[in-house]
Amino acid sequence: MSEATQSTAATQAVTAPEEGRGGGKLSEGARAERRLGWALIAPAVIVMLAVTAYPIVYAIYLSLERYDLRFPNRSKFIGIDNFKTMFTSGEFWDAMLHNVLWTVFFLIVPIAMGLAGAFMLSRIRRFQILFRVIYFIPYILATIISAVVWENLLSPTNGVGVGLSDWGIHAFANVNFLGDPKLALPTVAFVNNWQWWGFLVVMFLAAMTGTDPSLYEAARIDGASELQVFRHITVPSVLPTIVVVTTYMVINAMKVFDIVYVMGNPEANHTEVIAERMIQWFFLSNNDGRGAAIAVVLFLAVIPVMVWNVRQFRQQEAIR
Amino acid sequence: MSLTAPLPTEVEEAPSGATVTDSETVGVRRGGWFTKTVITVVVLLWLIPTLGVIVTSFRPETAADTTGWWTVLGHPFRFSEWTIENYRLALDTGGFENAFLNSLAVAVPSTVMPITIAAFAAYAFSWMEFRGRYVLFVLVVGLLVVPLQMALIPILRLYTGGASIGGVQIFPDLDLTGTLPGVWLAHTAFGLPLAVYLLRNYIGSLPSSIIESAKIDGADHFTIFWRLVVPLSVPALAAFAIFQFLWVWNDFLVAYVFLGGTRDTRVLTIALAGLAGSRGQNWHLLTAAAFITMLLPLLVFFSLQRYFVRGLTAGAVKG
Repeated sequence: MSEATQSTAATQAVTAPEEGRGGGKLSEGARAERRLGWALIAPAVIVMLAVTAYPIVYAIYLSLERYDLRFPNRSKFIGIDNFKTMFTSGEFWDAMLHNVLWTVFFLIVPIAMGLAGAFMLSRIRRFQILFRVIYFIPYILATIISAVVWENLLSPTNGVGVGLSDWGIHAFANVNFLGDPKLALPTVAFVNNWQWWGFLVVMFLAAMTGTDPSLYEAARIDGASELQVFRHITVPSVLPTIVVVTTYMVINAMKVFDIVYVMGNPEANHTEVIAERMIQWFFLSNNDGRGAAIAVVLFLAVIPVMVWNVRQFRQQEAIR
Repeated sequence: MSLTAPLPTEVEEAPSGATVTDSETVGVRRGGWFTKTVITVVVLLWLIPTLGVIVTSFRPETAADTTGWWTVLGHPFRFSEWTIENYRLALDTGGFENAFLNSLAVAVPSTVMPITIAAFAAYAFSWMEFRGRYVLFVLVVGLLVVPLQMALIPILRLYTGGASIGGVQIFPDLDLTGTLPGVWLAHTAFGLPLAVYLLRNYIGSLPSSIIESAKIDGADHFTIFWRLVVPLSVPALAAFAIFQFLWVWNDFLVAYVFLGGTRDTRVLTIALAGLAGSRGQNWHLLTAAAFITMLLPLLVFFSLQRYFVRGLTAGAVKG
């Protein structure tokens, strides 16, 4: 809104004198270019500073305080006490463990399933677009809808298990997928995977259609099996996409919150994760200092991914 | 709907001179019965939950509560078992009409704003030479990984009290909490890193010969941006628009924190969560509400889907 109009105005303001520049000195042109460049980037940078960089600094400061949003006047500097309490609490380590398991799961299962799905889908002609759109539907749904639908489907009293039992399949009849602490985390991960899979298939499929067909031709002449073709031609040719998508999945897995928060009962069923803990401490226990401390830990955990990401950009830049 | 329009990336060129028409001959072997079976079974599995929502939303309350929705499939033409009462109740009594409008009021500006800001920035990052652009790019995009939840409290504080360093006010007290501009700004900020990343990938991969020749013809940056870059970047702009719109429309947390959960201000997802809280009795209403919620995203996706893949993968797939 306001930023948009502002930067449009800025563009005009800065470009206008440039038009009459004619054969000005090189340094002057470079300076004008630089001024315009900064003007174009300024709105994005200002918004990012206010809404992302500032909160990081603020969270670090808050993590060293005893702070309750309801009584801001009673805040007190307590050093690293929040971290001490956190690191000695079982809640934190539970959440940490679940986050690690979750990230490992999302590093492997959806990527593998997405590749397999895309490979199979690339083999068919008829209905390919229809199938692709259907696979994609779960990604379009709000998490709250997916959660409610799956809770209903997996309900031990009137879910699919009961329905299958009517048809003579009793294996799932009395399984309480979301109520059993052993099953709850894999179940929620499965539902999240259900949401993501179609998106991954679509991305990988797009990458696969870019593979040089003559490679397949050559492999076929050499008598390669489908599995060999997949491993030695398809996967290497879509590797750049795999890298990008995997980064995206890992970041999302580390930040996962909504599906865990709305499905079942995180505390009772041992599905709590870092981001969910943070919200609990922030909003429900009004313990902002400790909430900020866990936010800082999450941020530190994400830094290696960020560094790796930046390296990717630099490599890309070098290729271009 | 453009279900049948092929994606441009899929256009396969047969090797020149060869008299081939079948995909077999260009090396991509068609799947056998195994592939087809697996794909069909997965399609069914993937459809079941959504189908369940749609079917249940048209069933009367008592039937929906006592029997599974799949029982209807045995006798689909018994019309006494279908009703649209749930939709009337959800829209009227449930307040979903109001929530729908609120969602729209949040989602549209929250999609347009980041696209506009990011397009300017992406152009500058890709086609302008100046010092500091690399650092700034890393600053903007690197923040992609900062967890959104981490920023909520500080932004709330920023909105209600502004910010000051050593007594100097650096951000004015705008009292944005609970207002639409407050939500727009938050969504814009959370969407920006991805927008800049995607658009820079795409705009950066435009052929430099076009830009260079426009420059030689005397076009300034303003002309190049509006007359060349924007029209050529429609796929990437549309792809991000889908992404951001879906995200904002389906968001719960940001709307809840910045707009609140009262009946007047709440968006669809919050209204839906309120209904789900009393789960069990409301299953018939909940499904109708869920279908109302998913309707617009489905339409947006279907109408823009042919741009989606091309826009998203430009940087990664290239070739």
